[in-house]
Amino acid sequence: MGEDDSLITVPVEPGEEPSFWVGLGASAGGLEALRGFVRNLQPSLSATYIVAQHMAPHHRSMLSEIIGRETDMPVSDVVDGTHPAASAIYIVPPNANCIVVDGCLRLTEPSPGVAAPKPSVDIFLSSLARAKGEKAIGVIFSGTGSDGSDGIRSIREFGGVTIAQDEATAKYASMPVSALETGCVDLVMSPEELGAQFRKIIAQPRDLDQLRSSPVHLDSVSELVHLLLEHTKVNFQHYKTATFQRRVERRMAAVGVSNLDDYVSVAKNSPPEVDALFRDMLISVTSFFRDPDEYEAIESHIQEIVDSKKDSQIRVWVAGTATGEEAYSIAIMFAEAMGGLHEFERTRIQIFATDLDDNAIETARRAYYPESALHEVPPDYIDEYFETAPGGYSVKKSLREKVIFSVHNIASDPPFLNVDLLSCRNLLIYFQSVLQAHVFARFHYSLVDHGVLFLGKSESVSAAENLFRVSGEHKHVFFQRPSAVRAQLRDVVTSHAPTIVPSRASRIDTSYPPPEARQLAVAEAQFESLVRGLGPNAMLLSADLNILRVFGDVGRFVGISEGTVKTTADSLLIEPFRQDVRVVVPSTIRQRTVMQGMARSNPDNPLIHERVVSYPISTGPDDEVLALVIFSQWTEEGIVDDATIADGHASEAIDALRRELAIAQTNLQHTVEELETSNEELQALNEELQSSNEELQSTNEELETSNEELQSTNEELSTVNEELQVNSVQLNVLNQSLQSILDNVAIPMIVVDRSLNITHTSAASEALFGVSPGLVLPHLSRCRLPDGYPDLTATVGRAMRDRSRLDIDVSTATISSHVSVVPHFSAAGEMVGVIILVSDSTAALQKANRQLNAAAQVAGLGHFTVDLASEETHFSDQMRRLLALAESSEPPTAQTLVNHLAKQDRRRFEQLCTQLVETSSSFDEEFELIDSLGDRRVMRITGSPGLDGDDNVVGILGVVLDITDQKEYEARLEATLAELSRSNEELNRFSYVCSHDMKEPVRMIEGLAELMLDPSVKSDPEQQESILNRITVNMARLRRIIDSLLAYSRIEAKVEDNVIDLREVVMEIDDALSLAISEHGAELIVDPLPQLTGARIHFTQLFQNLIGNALKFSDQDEPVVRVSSMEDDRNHIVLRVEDNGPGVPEESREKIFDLFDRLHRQDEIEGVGLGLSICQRIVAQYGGTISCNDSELGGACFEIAIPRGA
Amino acid sequence: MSDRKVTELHFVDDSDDEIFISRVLFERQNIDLEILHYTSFDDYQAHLEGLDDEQLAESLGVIDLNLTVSKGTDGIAALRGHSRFASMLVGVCSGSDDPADVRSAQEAGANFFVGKPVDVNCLQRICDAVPALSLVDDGERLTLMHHED
Repeated sequence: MGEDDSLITVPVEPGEEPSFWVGLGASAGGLEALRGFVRNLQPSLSATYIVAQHMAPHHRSMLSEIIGRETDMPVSDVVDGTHPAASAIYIVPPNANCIVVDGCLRLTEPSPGVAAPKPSVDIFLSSLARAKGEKAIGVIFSGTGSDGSDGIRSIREFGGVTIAQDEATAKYASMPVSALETGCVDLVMSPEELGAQFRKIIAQPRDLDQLRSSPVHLDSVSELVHLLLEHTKVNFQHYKTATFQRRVERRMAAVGVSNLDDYVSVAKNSPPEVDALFRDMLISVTSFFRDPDEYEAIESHIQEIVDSKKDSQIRVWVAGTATGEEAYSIAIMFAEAMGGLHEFERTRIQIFATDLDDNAIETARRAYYPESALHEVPPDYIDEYFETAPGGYSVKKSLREKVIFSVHNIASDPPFLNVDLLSCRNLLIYFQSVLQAHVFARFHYSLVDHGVLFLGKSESVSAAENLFRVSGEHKHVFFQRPSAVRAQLRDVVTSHAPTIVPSRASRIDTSYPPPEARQLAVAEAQFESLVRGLGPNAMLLSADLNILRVFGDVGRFVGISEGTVKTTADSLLIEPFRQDVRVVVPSTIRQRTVMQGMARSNPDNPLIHERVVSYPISTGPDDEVLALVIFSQWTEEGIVDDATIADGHASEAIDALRRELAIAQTNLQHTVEELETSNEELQALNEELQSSNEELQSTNEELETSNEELQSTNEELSTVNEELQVNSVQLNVLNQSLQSILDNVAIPMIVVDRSLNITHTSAASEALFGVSPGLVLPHLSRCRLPDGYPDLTATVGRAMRDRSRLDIDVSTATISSHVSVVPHFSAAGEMVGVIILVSDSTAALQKANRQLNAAAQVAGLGHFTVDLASEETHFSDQMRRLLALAESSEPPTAQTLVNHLAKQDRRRFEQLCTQLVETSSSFDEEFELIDSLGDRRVMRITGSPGLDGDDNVVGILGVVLDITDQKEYEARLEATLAELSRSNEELNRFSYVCSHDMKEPVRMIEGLAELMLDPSVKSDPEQQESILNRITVNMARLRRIIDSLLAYSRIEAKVEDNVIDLREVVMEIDDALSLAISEHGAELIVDPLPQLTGARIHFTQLFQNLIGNALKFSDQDEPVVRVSSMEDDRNHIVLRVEDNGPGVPEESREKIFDLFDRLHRQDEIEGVGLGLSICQRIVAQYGGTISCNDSELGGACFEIAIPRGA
Repeated sequence: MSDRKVTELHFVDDSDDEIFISRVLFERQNIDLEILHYTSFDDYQAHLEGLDDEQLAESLGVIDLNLTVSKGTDGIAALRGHSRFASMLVGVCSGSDDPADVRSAQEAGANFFVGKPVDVNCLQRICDAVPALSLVDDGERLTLMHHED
């Protein structure tokens, strides 16, 4: 089903009330529009059509008949009180206004104003709006002026539908454009389209709201014209359609749209695009001295202007100057005519150069042109009128100052006045004839009488031949025709209605006073009389040869032939008059001059000659020129003989030839005019092509530049590509290396991106975390983590959030690992992801533990750990051994260790542990430990805090070292040191005593020797002897001391290891001391003595000293000395030497063993005090002791205890 | 300061030779002192107990450090423990220069530690060691002077 088929309308019956009242307003050109509309209008619509067509008030209208021929609908004139019926057309009669009252049409007096149109479309449409509201439809067709605009506004106001004819199709667009400018028009379309679419508009149901809300429906080109008008205030309505379309197509290509409607949408939403289109419309193709022959043609005219003006001001207008080349060219021409730049500078001349394009004007004002722009300028002109500038030339100031550039619209802005020369070259070729006529009128007004108009090569004044005349030999130089109408032009040219281009006739007619009816009747009678005088048989024909009126009897010239009969002259007239009318009437109307056809003889009466003469008849307000065709006849007297007849035949042939010639001339004229039009089009096209060519050259240069840039870029890309290939190879190598590393590295490693998707894994990590190598970008959360590991997802998230490395120790019964979570960053510092490294040290730790345990066992080092949270306690094997814990004993606790400490140490240990937990401090102290077997041991316990990742104390680590042996060693060492110290002291003492006691006799000998030298002694022999005795005694003593010291020192060398029979030794001493024993009367009792191992000399000296002392110190008359032995319970051999002497005071029993210690004075008992010291030293050599006690014999008893086996 | 004349030098030494030499030397030097020799400290102490205070004040004791049956320092310590002998001048003489011996003498309360008084130099060393004493040569005799604050 087609679109039209969906619009179902119910046919209306004649006389039925219409649903819609359609008011049609029209003026000049309206007949054509009405005919087009009616011709396409479907007759059976529920609408009535009332036509308000401007007409001459007293002119009998044939509109009903004319329109009636186009439709089957009834067409009738409105009479007062007409009730319009559906599907009928009513024509408002001339000289009356029509209004709608109570559903009928009422005729009223026309508006009193002279210029008021009749009938008034505004009045009719306004009343229709008020009467019918939404049921009213207002249509404005072709016409001049603005009548109907208010009516359209009223219909919109009351909710009706408003329609205007597309101005492109309107013969006179002023009325529809004026209506459009009200902003109240709903639809814009051609009359034919409107007629065809009218059914849709009034179809039921009809969505009026949608219609009203929709934007003005203009055709695309018109919309663009309106957009340009709104945006630039320049109306391109009357630019040549082909030119306009080509510029639009250029822009369409530029923005990349192929559909005109799409481009309109783009332009509507993009003011810059409208501006770009506007710039594109302003074709600025110009150059210095363009078309030099044309400039040669104008040269003489310029010279005439210069010569004629003398001291008065010369005014020149260069319209459409573009970038100024033409204006400066004409200025140079004037300067040359004046004799050079110097004269030009002094002359009062003003050159106005205007253009629409402000950018072009700005360029013109700068007056700077590249060198290439001056190739048409003669070198001497360049030297005279230009000065060099970087890269080109600048117009000299004196020339430049005479040229005033401004932005100006020749179609709308007020023209410059009193212009002597107006140059407008290659601009009018872009204008439609109506706009050309408008501009010519302005030019005519602007120029002084006989002023010079200088047009382009392809331009002519055909649209205004009555305003300008052609210069004789120069086709494109025209002179203004002084005209009476010029004064009335002021009102038009100073108006600011760019779209309204009224025709010359309308402008003139509107100045006429309104004729009175009587005068009109008289004028009509005079006109008829005039016609009859001319004719009397005549026809009034329109331009399209329609017969408007017939005067007299034209039956002689009319005939109906076979086929369709029309009311046109070329249809009704017979030959040869038909051909004459076809030729002369168009020329008459176009040239507004009297034309006549060929004179010919009447075939029936050769004396009667006939001729068609055509007179131009102006019809007044409509500016329509009609042709009054007079069929004139006259009789030429004379004898008609055969020769005459023969001549008549020849004459007929000549006439026929003349007619053919006239027709040919007419056709030729048409052809010439068409050629001129075509020439204009071609010139315009040529201009555009030049513009396009320049643009293409520019584009080509840009493309070449782009190509070079592309080549450069291509080379750079090649270089980059090579670098990328090298990088790619390096990347492959790196990838292979990385993969190899990942495959072989023994460390579990996972690399994740910022989304925690795993990007790389090492082979070891697949085993540890269970990441399948086949997975593509598996998420980290899919890792199967062994027990004890932290939540990697959360840990990684924390590392990413903190942008810092995290290290976590994982320690369980079966795992000992260190997890490092390291964010890694790109070169730009952006975090790329995170690397998770797992250092699994379980095996190493186990090995280290084994080694540690072995070492601990060897070193006797035990260790223990206590977890504070779980109180889980671990003892190493060595620890268990230190505590002597049985294998089957209960698992240890913290209290186990405390319980094994000695009681006095437990509290100290607990305090240290508490302090460790609270202050994270360590301790290292000794404790006494009692193992499970009850043995006491000294332990050195070192306690350290066990910390978590946050340095919180979570446990106690203890190391226990058994230092019992060490302590014993230390004690022994201390004893040894004490012994050494004592020995050293003894040695020192020995040295001191030796030196002291040895110095004593020496000093005495020295002192005594000195005394020997004293004079008093020398003289005293007794004293000398006493002194010598003393010296001798001291020397003997010194010798004894030396002997004793030698004996003492020899004791140190235990060089022998012989078995010694002590009894034999004592018995030998008994023999040696037998004299002394006998002198003292002493008795030596020797008991059985054991055998010992050692040096015989030692024991000989030992017993000799003791026995000798006993004899020496004895105070008894019968001294008794007894030597005996016994064995004590410590497996020592005890030797005793006792006597019955005075004994040794108890307080001196230890002192007597000191070196040189004596209990008696030297003079009392001889001795040096070394005997007992020597004895003690000998005994000490065998690990024994010597002591002095009381003897059972009453004296002293020296007991010598020597370990057996020593 | 008042000068107090020392009139007696008590020399305790159990070496007959030393006593012999010192006596001969003192006699030869014509020192205005009465030299009293003791072979044991007990003898010396017994003699002191028989002196009055003035005599004690004018006496100077020099005790051998190493007596055979006792030590000189022990004797000085015993004297310092007695109220009458606490302030008297008494020192130790010895052929030893062992610092330990000097220290023990000071600790015992000796006013000086000198060598054996077997020559004039010995007397001079006594005066050098005892600030309260000075050896005055009056032209004919050497006198030990005791300075009192």
